[in-house]
Amino acid sequence: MSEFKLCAVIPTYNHGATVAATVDCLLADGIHCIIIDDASNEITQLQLITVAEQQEVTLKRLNDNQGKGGAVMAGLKVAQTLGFSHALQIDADGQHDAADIPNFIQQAIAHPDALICGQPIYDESVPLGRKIARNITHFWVGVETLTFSPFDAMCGFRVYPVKLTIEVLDSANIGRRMDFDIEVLVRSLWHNIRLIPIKTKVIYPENGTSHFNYLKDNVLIFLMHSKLFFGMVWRLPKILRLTHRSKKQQQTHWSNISERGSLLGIKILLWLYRWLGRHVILLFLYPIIAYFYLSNKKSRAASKLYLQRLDDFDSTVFKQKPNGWLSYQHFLSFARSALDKVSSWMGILNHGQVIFEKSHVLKGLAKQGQGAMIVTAHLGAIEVSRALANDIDEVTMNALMFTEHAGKFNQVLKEVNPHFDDDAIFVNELGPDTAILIKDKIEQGEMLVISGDRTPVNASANIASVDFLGHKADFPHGPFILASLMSCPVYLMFCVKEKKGYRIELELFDEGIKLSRKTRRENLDAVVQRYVHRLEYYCALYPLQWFNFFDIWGNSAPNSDNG
Amino acid sequence: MSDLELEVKQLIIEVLELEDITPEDIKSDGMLFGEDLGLDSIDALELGLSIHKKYNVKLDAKSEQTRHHFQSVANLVALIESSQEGA
Repeated sequence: MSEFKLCAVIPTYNHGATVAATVDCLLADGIHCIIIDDASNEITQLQLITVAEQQEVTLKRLNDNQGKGGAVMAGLKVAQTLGFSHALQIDADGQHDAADIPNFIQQAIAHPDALICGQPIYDESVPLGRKIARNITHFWVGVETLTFSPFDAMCGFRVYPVKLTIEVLDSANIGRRMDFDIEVLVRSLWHNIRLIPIKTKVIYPENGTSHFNYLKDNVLIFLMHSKLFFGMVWRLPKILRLTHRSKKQQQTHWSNISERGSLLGIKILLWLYRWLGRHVILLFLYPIIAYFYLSNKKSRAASKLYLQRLDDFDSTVFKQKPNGWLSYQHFLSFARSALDKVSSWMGILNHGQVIFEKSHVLKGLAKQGQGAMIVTAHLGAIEVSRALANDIDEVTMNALMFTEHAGKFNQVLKEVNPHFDDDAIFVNELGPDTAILIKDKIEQGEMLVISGDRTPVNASANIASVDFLGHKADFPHGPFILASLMSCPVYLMFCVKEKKGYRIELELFDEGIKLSRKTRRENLDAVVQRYVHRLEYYCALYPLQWFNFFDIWGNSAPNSDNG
Repeated sequence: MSDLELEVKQLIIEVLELEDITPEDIKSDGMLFGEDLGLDSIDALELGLSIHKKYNVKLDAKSEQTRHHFQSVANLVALIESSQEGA
């Protein structure tokens, strides 16, 4: 980190009278002032030129009115050019209490990579209309960033780390009017920039001019929140990871931010689910998925390719040729399934809604103390069966998950049910330690569930290239290597959605996989091919429940999300 | 060659069905995986399981350590000895 060098950025639009006072205050503290004249009228222009005659003042005039955001952005760029590491943003209308500036500076020095944000304490002068807008914004910012510490994102009294913030600004087309303050904050959070809140008094001076245009700015703020909300859903995995990380950091670092209940955004959705019911949530889901569908070219192409190849493989699966609509249905089916995973762990979905004809097979194994491997796939929602199997006392199911594929969504599940990963084994790679751990469990008569259709990113050696729907695709050897080491029976299990509720399909795949060292590769390829043929069979039965939204036939590594 | 070294070498040959190889052919400090003996990652898993079964050795989840333990017969022997001392 380069040397700490602070300047102030003062966006001005016809605030000529109050700017001088603000600048005087800042200069008295020894802070260089960058005034951005956002195409003010002539009187202000002249006033500003007078102010700018002082030392340590830089004046930049924008010829077209940009709005506050545009002015701050211009100011940050000037700050960067002049070599400042940090920029204090302060309104020129006298709203912000300059007496708090030393606090801001102190925090900025202590946390050079953080965004220091004023958290207003209002006196009675705040107009009601703005108060309401603020409360709405609090809620949305909480949802968008999944942090729910009461955070005021509208206060424009801040210290920005110049370089990092410009990276954020360059990464997106950020609103230039009153929506700027909020959007830059949310996006900074997405960029893993820490926020440090500082309480500060905000005054609405009687003769001060504020350029908050109620209708126009509220509409803009609404549009921005819609944009950010979709952005949040899309970035969900990343945000969850960051939230998780910042929680961890908190345990070791001193910090005055309270981030308890950081997943409250999700909790609100779940709360809506509980109270309004599934159908209402689905109503929300349709447009969100439509947006996903339209904006996500790669996944859309992968879905279409899969549907097309399934149709080529078995023309009786679909009544008509697969088209974009069917692909949208495929996306919807995925979203519903994600919802079901969550609700099954919340205990909303119950046994009555799940048909498990062969449950006696598992119970029988458990009774004999015979452990087994259960290979599944991203077909249907195996989590649903895990949640329910939790209640079958006799059977213990462990899920083996590769850490790189897990986390994220699972974290949500863990929020709704703390027992979610009690029986999950997270591994980075399959090593002797994992094999020993699993062997112990199998020998105690427990079940191990593993997915057979995702190749670990770094295990290029143990991959079988086999026919899937008529074309070569990569599938991992891993699950079957493990099965051979465990010398136990191998079952296939899928939990698929039917018109009413779920059905658990279970079939015996192998009494015990034996590999000969010399022909091991060929043996494994053959086993994997046999598994993939069963997968094809179930894909044809439940075509829209295959949830691998990447090109499985291509060589690209799978997306690590979407568990 | 110590008794334990011989035992481990015999175990390797037996578990991995290495025909035409005698304990004398395996160098105690030679690379098990790679050039010298040419074992692969699946062999490592099998070996890990049988060593665990026979000597009740516990392995840490840290893969770098595991990799170190499985580098050579000598390292495996050291691992077994240290775990028996601890028991």
